[in-house]
Amino acid sequence: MRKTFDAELLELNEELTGMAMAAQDAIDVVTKSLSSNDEAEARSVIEMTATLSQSERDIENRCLRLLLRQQPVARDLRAISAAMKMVTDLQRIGDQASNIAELSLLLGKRDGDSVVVPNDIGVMACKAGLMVRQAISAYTARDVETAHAVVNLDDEVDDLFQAVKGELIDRVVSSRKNADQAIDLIIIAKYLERVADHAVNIAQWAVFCVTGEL
Amino acid sequence: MPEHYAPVKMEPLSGRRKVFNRSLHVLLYLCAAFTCILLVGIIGYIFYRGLPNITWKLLSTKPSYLSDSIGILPNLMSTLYLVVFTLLIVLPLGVGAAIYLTEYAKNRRLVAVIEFATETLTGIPSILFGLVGMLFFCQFCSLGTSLRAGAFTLVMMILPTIVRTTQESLKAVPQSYREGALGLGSGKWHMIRTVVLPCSTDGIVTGCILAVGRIVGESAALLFTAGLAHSLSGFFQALSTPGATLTVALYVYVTERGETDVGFAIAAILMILTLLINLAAGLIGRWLGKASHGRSA
Amino acid sequence: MEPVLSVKGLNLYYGSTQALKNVSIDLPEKQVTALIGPSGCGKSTFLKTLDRMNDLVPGVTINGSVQYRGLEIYAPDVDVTWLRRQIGMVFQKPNPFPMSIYDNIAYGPRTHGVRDRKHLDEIVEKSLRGAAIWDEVKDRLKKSALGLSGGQQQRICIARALAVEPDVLLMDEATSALDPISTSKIEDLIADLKNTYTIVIVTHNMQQATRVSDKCAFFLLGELVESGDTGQMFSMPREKRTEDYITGRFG
Repeated sequence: MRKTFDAELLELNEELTGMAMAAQDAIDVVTKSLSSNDEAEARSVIEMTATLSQSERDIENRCLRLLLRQQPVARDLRAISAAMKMVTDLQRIGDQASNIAELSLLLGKRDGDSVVVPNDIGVMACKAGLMVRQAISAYTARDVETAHAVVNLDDEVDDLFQAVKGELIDRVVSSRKNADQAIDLIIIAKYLERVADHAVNIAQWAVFCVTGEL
Repeated sequence: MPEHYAPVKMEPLSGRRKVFNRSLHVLLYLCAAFTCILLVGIIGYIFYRGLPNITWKLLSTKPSYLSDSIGILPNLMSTLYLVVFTLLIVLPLGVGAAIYLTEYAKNRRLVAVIEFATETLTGIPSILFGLVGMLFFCQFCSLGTSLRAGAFTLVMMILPTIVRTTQESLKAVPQSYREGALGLGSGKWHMIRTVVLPCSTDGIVTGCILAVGRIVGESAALLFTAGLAHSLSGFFQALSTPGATLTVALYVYVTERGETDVGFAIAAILMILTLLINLAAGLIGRWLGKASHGRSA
Repeated sequence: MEPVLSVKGLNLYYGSTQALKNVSIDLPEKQVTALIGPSGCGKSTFLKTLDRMNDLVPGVTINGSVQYRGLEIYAPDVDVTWLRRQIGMVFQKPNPFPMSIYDNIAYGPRTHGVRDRKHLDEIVEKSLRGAAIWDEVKDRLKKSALGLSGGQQQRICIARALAVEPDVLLMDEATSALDPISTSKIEDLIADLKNTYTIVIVTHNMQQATRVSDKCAFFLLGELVESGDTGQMFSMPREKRTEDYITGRFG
């Protein structure tokens, strides 16, 4: 029963997964561009985030169409309304990636090869990207455990942010010359921490989808 | 869209089927025509023979041996009395029974048995009713040969018809009307009186017409029970005395006195009566229907 | 708040087949309760037990308790006509009597002994206004109710039910035979009537149940599977069977 509806819901899941993977890629690429100082890669991230915006609009349209034509209730209603909220978070994650890319371009132009990226920023980026993927798969698999794991990962990212902050403060204290770069890097770390927060939001929508609790 | 496409090819009926169609058409037409001719022929012949013999004197006098004249006023009156008296008894009885059977009776099997019995009763030849009526009413109840006994016999005969037609029209009243009325908190009898009966008046009227038709047309049963007298008297007196109705009179005048002309006159009168009854019934039915549908408070 | 109707452990049999199985539910005052479930699940049967319309069906046996404001309605000394006056019913198919609009509305009051013409006029106008159809029919009160459209006829039936001033209004799929405009008019009407009456509706239309009802009860195969707040039931049902039914994946 309701074959077309179920098929559409599956497609919705696929689109969301695809979007999450794209967001994760954007974060990976932008982090790499940071350390390799590759201008072309940084620019490609900005393009990637543009496609994320397009996916957001596509998914929203699909959700609205499903609301209109299928009048979902109960679990279907929760799944579709959660999807609509989640795409906003995914799109914001894209925005953060493109913000990082812009800063990366700026850094490259100003400091050239003298940019030293703290190791923990790479780790943060890795974990934040993973959180995004996991949050979406928690949603598509309707898996509360995975969603909780995402929330736990956020604590680690927060700790990493504190560590990065400490390291950069030390740099500023040791030499005024690097202050500009350190401040830009802390902003980048903050962006990554935001990405993790959005992933937590997504995970919470995944939980809502299963339990109905906001 | 293809640029050239052939129109659908029509397959005409085969010659054999055409001929078959045509001949069946003609056959059915002939059936209808024959029926019409038969009907018009009988009516025409009766009017042709009967109408010239209807005179005011025939209608307004009683037969007299002194002047050797024949008048059918007593027979007209007997017929009228019989119709009124029979209906007075059979209507409440039949409608009541029908209401009980359709609205109240709980035992479905008993109802089925009664319905079967009434159906069978309608098929019994009327002369048998006459025989039973004579033995039971005239002799056993010692009512003698009288209009009264005739009326009772006719009641027996017509009751099934009235019960059946009333039942049919009660059953045709949508169940939703009953539910609606009961749902508003009306009692059962109130519901029947205010909703069910008004909806079934035309059915009951139809039953009455059939009944009147049978009374007017009945002769066999009445020969035994109501007698052959041509006496003229008032309603209540007439009930306890014998009296011949128009049909019985027709039989008597033709077979016993060889008055074929009077016979045809009576036949024509009977036909006119039947026509009038049908017309009146139609009018009453329509009037009642209108009254019950758009009745104002 | 005391419920208006309180059902406990209700079992109903048509002959030897059980149509309702141990149903227990409270219907709160001045709220709309929607009964939902697939065809033949017993929701209409349940509705009819509430004003004893099942008495008309031969071979029905009922046990358990149905209380109307504390009164056991299946007790032997209960006057059914009184009960049905307190608990009005609107049927699936509009069933105005073949009389004038006025007589249709006045039927109930007349049945219960109102004869005064002026008083009847007042009741008729009040009821027709209550059913939001006064403006449409005020100039044709003497015309037959059968000449109205389906939606108007149904509102006439609602007005007819209101005319006996009931306490509870039962509606058995009252909009299933109507077009969308008439349906939404009746839904609006239900929202208004809720302020005065306790309403129980049977509906096949899930959207309608979510739109008009406060409480919802889901029946399946004669069993009351789940009942509760409509918003809760349509966003987070407790029972899997409820969820499967309302999301259209039943069976």
